[in-house]
Amino acid sequence: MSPATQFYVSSLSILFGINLIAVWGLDLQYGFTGIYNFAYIVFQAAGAYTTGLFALHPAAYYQANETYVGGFNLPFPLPLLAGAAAGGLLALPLGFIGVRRLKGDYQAMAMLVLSLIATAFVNAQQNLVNGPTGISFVEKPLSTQLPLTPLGYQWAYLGLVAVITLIVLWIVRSIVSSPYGRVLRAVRDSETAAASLGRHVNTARRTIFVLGGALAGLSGGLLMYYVTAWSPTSWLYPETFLFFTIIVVGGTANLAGNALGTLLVPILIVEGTRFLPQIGYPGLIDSLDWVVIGLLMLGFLWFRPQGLLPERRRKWVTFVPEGRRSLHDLLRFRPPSALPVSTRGER
Amino acid sequence: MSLIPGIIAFGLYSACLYAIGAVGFTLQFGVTNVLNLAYGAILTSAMYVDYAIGRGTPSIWFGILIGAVWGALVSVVFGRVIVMPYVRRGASLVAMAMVTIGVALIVQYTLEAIQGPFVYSYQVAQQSTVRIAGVTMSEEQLIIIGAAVVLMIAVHALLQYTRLGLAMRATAVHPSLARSCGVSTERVRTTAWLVSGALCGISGVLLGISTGSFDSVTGASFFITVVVAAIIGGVGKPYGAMIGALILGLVSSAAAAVISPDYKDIAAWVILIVVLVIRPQGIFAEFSSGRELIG
Amino acid sequence: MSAGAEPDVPVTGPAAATPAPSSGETRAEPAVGEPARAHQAILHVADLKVHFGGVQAVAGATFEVHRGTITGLIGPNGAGKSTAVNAIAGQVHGATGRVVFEDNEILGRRVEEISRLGLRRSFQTANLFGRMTVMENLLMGAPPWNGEHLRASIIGRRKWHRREAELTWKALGIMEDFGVASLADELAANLSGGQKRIVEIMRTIMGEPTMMLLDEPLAGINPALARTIGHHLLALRDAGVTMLVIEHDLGLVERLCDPVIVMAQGKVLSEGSMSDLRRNKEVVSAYLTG
Repeated sequence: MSPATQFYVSSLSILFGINLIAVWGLDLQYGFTGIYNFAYIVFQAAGAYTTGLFALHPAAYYQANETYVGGFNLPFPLPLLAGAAAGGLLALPLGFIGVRRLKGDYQAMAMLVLSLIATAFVNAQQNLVNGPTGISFVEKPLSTQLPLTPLGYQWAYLGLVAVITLIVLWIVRSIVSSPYGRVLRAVRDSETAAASLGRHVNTARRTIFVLGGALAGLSGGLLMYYVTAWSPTSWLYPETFLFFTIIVVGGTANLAGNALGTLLVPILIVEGTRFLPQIGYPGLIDSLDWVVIGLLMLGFLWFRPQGLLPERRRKWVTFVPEGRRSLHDLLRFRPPSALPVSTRGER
Repeated sequence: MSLIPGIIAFGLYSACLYAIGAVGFTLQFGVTNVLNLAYGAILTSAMYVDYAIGRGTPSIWFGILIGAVWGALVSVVFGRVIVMPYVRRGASLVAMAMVTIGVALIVQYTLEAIQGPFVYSYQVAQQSTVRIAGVTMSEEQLIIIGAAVVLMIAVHALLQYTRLGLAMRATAVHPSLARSCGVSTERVRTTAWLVSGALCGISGVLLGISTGSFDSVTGASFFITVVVAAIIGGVGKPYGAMIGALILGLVSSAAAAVISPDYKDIAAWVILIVVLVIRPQGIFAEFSSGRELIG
Repeated sequence: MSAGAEPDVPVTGPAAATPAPSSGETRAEPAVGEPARAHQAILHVADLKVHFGGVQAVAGATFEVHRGTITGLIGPNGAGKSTAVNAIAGQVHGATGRVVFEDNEILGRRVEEISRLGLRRSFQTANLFGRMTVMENLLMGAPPWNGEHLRASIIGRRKWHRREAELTWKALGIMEDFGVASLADELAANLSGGQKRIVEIMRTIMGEPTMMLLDEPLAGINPALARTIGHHLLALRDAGVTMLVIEHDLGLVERLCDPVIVMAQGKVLSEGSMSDLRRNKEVVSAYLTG
């Protein structure tokens, strides 16, 4: 592989891992627990900003006319942990406003508006994170300490992202295949019934909202360290919609489906824009990207709302030791179940 | 305080602008049961169309006409060609929300792809001003207030004094019961899209004219205000939306005058958060059977 | 089906305590062959009032349910039966009065808490977890246990494997009792109406409740199935579970319930056995006019 190709592949892979962490966090909230967090991107932004603020020197150091709070110049991995924590902490007030009592599409709308407000707020408050211009100059972790070429460093960073992604996979998978995961799905399917069976519905929703927020923050931190700059244009409200499209395309409440969606949707976007007519203003490919994403979402919600890899049906034999499969079987790709789920059900 | 007449005047003016948009939005939800998150994109498109047809001259009456026709047209198409098929297919309410956001993206970014990310400005015409109770207001602002009042009265008349309005109110409260009483929900819904679409388009055009310039994202921040006004009054309640718009207009105007002009938007945000925390269903909404919006 | 459960899944709770305890408590000894009936009120409702959407749905209802009985709750439409049951289960805001369950004041408490005290309800329209299998629905029916926490899912895997297996076998046993074991892996949303009703009841039983509130459990079910479910309910009663059942089919009520409470216009009209009530002029006219 030529260096250019290597750069390209490693770069895509890094973004794949970063996005997958965020997508799992969102599917945990949406697909498994039934929370409609249309402000999800704000949590990733919080993680990115926090990581930046913890890693950078104070603003005056760079003499670049930037203003922002913080600048603690802490070594890796502390800023990354701070980013994840920020995402989780943000879930407390936002959860109080949007998760406690709101349900369904009303919740979706309220979260969307909160997302718009967050963008407007950051743009207006120059002193917080440097407003519309955003913050930059973040140093890639250990880039000066490690004697690596840029390409070599890229592979090393990919290694870091891969390890963290696997850890997140382990955590999310443990939750999803446990009795607690069952409680979450019960809360998703019928809050009333879950409460009547003694489960604490609001506690579960709040907890997963925080956990999802932390995963978004972690993803944001990794993204910040990779792109080294972050501004409001990176986290407009359509970005949340992109994550939802990935989930709907790949498969709701299916971790492998989430991975498939994360892999496939960017490819579909690139291929899709090839076919759309180049209308009017030339060079604005990015705009057409969003048109394709909108069409993808509409298309899948019409033709295959459960996604490419639908939610797995858990057979009861897997709950007892006699029938519990070996690790090998569990990792094996399992085809969609024979009986289709009625499309009239809640997604 | 000598600020008060100014606050009230400007507050009323803002409220009028918000009211047209908010009543349209809330009417759509009330009758069709769909939270149309593409509303902001549609009103933005009306801005573009008016600008294109009028070639940048800000004529309010012409603008209202263009906005009403375009908005109504687009909304009816949107409602019948996109929304209803998904609903008939059994899409959940959240899936519908995602559909409307998808359409919002398609509309917003198609506009951007065609026209570019530029800001369009109306040619500033020489405004004659009027002085009322110690406050100077432009002719344009007064016309907008007048137009809003006329539209609100028209909506009120439609809802209270026509059979169609009665049918709309019945469908909003209890669709299946209305249907069994012989109300053609299909026709009522189409009418709702028409009327609310017209209001949507009008509010978009007036927004563009009143702020003087716009781009493909101008509709987004106005959408926040429209939604907040609707939420204050209770989504689905037109009179609630009017009151919500009034509250929003006066409070944001007061905040801008007393604290600082930057705080105009912040007032809306704070009100939204307070409402969502204390009384998420708004002033008037109770949310009828089967429609679970809050727990 | 026998009154007890399978040997490897012993029924804990009230059934074990039904024989006269040796701890010296004063409790009326049930006569041999008679269903266990301690003459104590397990549920005490006093002056329950519920104002609902502009209507006084329950206007001061007072009644008691005795331990170990299947108590019927009947009355014409709009009598306030469902509303009263909803209020007892904690699902209604703004109810006033007094509701005591096993010495616990439960009026105003949250649904989750009341359920954890042992008072469970089934729903009029089966409220199942549609995207989960029947088995998973039943597993959710078990009382909340400590494997269902976040930390247990990540850290204590080996601990909950065993408990989950126990619950699975128990659920399978219940399914076999009802003859629906073949539906174990079926998604709840794909079931027929009658099947959903059975799953609803099985799920309530899974929690070994002390008392069950059943809102029209047999409505719309074919007579054969209704009779089967009725048998199961009687067996449950013999095992010590108390039930308050809202039903409209008076024949079924007569077969299953004793005593029976009659409500009309938000208040309790009368109480007694079905034969007594049939002779009660007030009750008869309430049904005709109510």
